[in-house]
Amino acid sequence: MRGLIYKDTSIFFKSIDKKLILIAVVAIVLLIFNAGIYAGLFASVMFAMTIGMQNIMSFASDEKASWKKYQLAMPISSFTVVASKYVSVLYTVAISILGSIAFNGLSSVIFQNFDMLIWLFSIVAAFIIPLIWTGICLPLTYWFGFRSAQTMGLIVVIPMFYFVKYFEDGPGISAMLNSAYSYMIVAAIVAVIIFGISLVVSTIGYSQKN
Amino acid sequence: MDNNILVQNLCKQFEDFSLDNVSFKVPKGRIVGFIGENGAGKSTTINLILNELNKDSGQIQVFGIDHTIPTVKENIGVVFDECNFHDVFTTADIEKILKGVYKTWDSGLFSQYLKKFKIPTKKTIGTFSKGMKMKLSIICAMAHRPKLLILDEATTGLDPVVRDEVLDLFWEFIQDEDCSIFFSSHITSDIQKIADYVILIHRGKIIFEEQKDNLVYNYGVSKCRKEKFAQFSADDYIIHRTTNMSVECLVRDKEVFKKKYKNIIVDNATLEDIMLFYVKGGTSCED
Repeated sequence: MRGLIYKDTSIFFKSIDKKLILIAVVAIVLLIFNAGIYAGLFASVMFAMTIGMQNIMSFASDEKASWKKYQLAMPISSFTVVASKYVSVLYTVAISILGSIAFNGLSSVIFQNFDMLIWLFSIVAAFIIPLIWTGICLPLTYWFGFRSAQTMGLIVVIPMFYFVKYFEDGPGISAMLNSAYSYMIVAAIVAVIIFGISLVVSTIGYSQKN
Repeated sequence: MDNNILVQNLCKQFEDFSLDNVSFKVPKGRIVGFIGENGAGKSTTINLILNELNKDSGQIQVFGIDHTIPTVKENIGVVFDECNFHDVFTTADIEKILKGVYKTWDSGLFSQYLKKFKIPTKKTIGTFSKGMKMKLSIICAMAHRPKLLILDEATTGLDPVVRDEVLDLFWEFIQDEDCSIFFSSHITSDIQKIADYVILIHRGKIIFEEQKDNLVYNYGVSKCRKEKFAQFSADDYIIHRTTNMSVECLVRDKEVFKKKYKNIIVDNATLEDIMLFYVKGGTSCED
């Protein structure tokens, strides 16, 4: 499993699409300077989405190299193969959380505002977005191929868009102050459950043979 | 257990192709060449041995145990017709990956092979030539000291110099009497150079499983006019093909044939000749 985790993590970093990074950087900079005190939160969401997308994009290089055919000849079980991919996703969740802390720190310095709730909300978003994104897209990849996951990855952007709209146009985080903590805990638990179920579904999909 | 691979009555049905009662063995200490035209069933057989496809019926044993037992693969090195490593990796990355997969991975042997075959260690695989990529695939297949190498068209597309280097490496590998190579190719000259046994598969059926020396030293091709051919007994040749002017026959024992038909010229048969006779044999072709 160690070797495959190394492979998946390396692919994540080495196959980063420069265009994707450029778009994300531009979007994050724009958010930081236009979103006021919510800059750290929006930047965290954007960064987490980029990480979720990159996890799926790294499958493209697996397909290009016909890696699966080679991997099937190795002395490793289907569960190990799929689990190693999920473990590598967890590593990237850590990066997402670190990014969130950095963006919120930057936002706090620029706008001279420290709101613990926004910080927590950002970190939870940085945790759950890559988990849910890959939790949905990885089973699709293992069952129907990388292209279907790529399409679904784009569809996942839509709820994110409404999430941002809610904060920009709606009452914002102050309206949900009383229930915010319980929302965050429930969301994190749901994300973990989705991720766990996704691992099982992916393993079944990967194990299918002609 | 004298065989590293034993396949018995293997069947696999697809919509447009089927493997039909395929049986053969790969003895220890031997190189077995698996020849046949494209689409004959070579890769399907290999995929079934590696448990990448489900068989419909039949038995496959590797090292004397069922091929579906995952630990079997610990002692198998596999090379496919293309390099399956990502372009962004270096040889150091590949080593880290495979070291974490194979318990018996030998880092010393890996770097020794890299040096021997002058594989760049700093560059990414995407910058390698096709020959270098294939050499790296072969090195990786051998660096965990497997007992069985399975090569699926591994030398296809290589230039003669690289091919020769690779064949030498196989010779070195087979010096250990417990090791075997199962080598599929449609380049029969490679098989003729290194194989001990040859298996010909055609349209999903095994046509023959013979010692290579028997094929190369005893088989022959006779060419004669149609009138002369009429004198031949059907028992004296395996297969014939008719051209506009003459008839060519594949004979099992050229010396016996020469003695019986004194004025007929019988040439040595190469593996390619033999394969072509079986694959295209019996059909009329233009001169």
